[in-house]
Amino acid sequence: MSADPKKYLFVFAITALIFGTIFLFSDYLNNERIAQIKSIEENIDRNILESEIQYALLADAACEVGEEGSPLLINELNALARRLSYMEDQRGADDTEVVGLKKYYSLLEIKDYLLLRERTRQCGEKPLSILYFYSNEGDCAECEKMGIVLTSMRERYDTLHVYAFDFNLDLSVIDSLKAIYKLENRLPALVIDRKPYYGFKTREEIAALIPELAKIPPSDTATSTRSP
Amino acid sequence: MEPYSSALIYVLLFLTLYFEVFLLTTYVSDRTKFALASPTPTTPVKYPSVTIVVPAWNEERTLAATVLSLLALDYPKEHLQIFIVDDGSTDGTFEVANRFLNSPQVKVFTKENGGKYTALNFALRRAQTDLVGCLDADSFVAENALKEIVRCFEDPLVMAVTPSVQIHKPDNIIQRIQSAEYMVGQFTRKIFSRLDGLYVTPGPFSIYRRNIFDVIGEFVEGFQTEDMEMALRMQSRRMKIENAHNALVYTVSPKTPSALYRQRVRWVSGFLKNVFFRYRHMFLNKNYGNLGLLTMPFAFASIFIALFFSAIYIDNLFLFFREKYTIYSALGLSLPEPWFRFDWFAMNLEFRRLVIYLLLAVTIFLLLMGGRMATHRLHLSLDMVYFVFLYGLIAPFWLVRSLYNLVTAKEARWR
Repeated sequence: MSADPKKYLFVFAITALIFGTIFLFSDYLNNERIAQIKSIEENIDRNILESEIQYALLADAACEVGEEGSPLLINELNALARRLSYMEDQRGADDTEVVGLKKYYSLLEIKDYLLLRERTRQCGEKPLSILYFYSNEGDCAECEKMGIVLTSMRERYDTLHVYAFDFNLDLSVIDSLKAIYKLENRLPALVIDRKPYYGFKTREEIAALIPELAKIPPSDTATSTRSP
Repeated sequence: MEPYSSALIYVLLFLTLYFEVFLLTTYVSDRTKFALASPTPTTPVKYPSVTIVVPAWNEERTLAATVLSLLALDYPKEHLQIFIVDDGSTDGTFEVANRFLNSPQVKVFTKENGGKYTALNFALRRAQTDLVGCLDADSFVAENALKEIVRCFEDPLVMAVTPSVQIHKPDNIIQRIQSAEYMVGQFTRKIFSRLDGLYVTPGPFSIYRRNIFDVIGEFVEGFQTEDMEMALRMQSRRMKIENAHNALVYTVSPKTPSALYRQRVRWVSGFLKNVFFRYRHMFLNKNYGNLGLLTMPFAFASIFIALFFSAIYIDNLFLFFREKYTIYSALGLSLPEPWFRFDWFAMNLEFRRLVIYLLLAVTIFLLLMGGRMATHRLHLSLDMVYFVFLYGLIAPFWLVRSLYNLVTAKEARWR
């Protein structure tokens, strides 16, 4: 059978059409993701404002509002952390959208941290929190493992607040945290009860650093996240 | 470097998609030619005389079953001769062959060892029938196979007919991967035949008109792939090769990874050397129709495409297991995180990934259709699952070695 040029052209047209359709579909999905990210950004803006208001209110209201009254829903923070992690995997840590979102996320975390500290101070409690500094630039071999351990602890203990910060993120408030806790350039780094700890820590080692965790019953309805 | 590698990836993806679309459009436009055998097969208009040559070298274990399957063929005995050619075996092959001397259909010959093609030529010079075929001494034919093939010769333009080769009783994972591979291979071979693009007449039960050998000559060594060389020689003379997809032949396949590796290196190296040293003039030559423009170039390109997809697959597998290992080394055996969580946001739906998913879907379709052709059932078998997940891990070994054999070949006509 001799080659039929029409068939070759026809198949080329179909292939190009399929290629084009997939390209448009992929572009559509990408836009959808960006829209979702924008929506999360808007939520973050609103949450920052709400937390500021609540922060002001708590200054007078002492312990009347429980932690569950916080506008910063832990699930939302976790969902955002997860999406950031996916996006960072797929688009790279240098992607503009990823960097922008991480900055917002870091600000939100710090606001929640301040709120938590203020509330526990006024209520005479001890804040159950861990500040975690990591790097994605290939200079922290154990950060991935550390992130997994902290994620699992966040799932296990509802009232444990884990705040993850990219050590290399160009954000002045992160620099301030580094200065406040006199952090060295050794990662992963944890700040527990205002004291810095360096290197990978197992769940047991962290539990030993926060004895209050032993009094908290493990959560049955844990949600999973991976720290970005 | 990145833009060049990205461009190469897009070109490979487009070429693969183009080829698959070509196959599918051919299948859709020619669907009636893919019909499964009816329960009451049509009898051929006439029964041409046929000689089946069984070249055997140290095949004492399988030879008897091979010959018995030939004797059981649903074909008039007076029109069917079986030539067993013992190619200087050092085991009991000749003795096993002699057991069939009582059958008037069987003739047994023995000669000095010279390779399969010499055994075929030895028999060809003695065959006086209309058709001549070969059946490897480790293969077995279905009862209706010859009838199905002979019907294709009712078209006077058809000079050779290939059967549907399947794996005989696959019983380990290596053979089961091959079983699925042969199924998809058969479906694509049928499509190639509709395009006049076949470039191999497999050793198990390909049948030729006797007189073509007077025109194009006997079998040659053909870089240890005499069946491929013969098909290419026929195609270079514009001789039509048909595929009888309902003529089932079962062949014993390599059982171990090393045996499979050796077989595939021989096949792929043979293909590459035949194409580049003997039949390069047909490559991308429109005078040779779809064979020159499509099936032969794509068979060559598919080596690189397969290596490319294997690399992506292996990279993904590595990342997957690395992640699981990291979780294990962080948390030990207790895994609070769900092993699997569906979140569309987590899916990689980037353009190249979507094209790969589509290509994978087409491959699964080809597998299912090939399976349907071989078993008359449309189902997803475990063999197919093994094939999809494991083939990409083993094929790169023989592909890379075959490419190495090509570029280091001593044949002087490389340039």
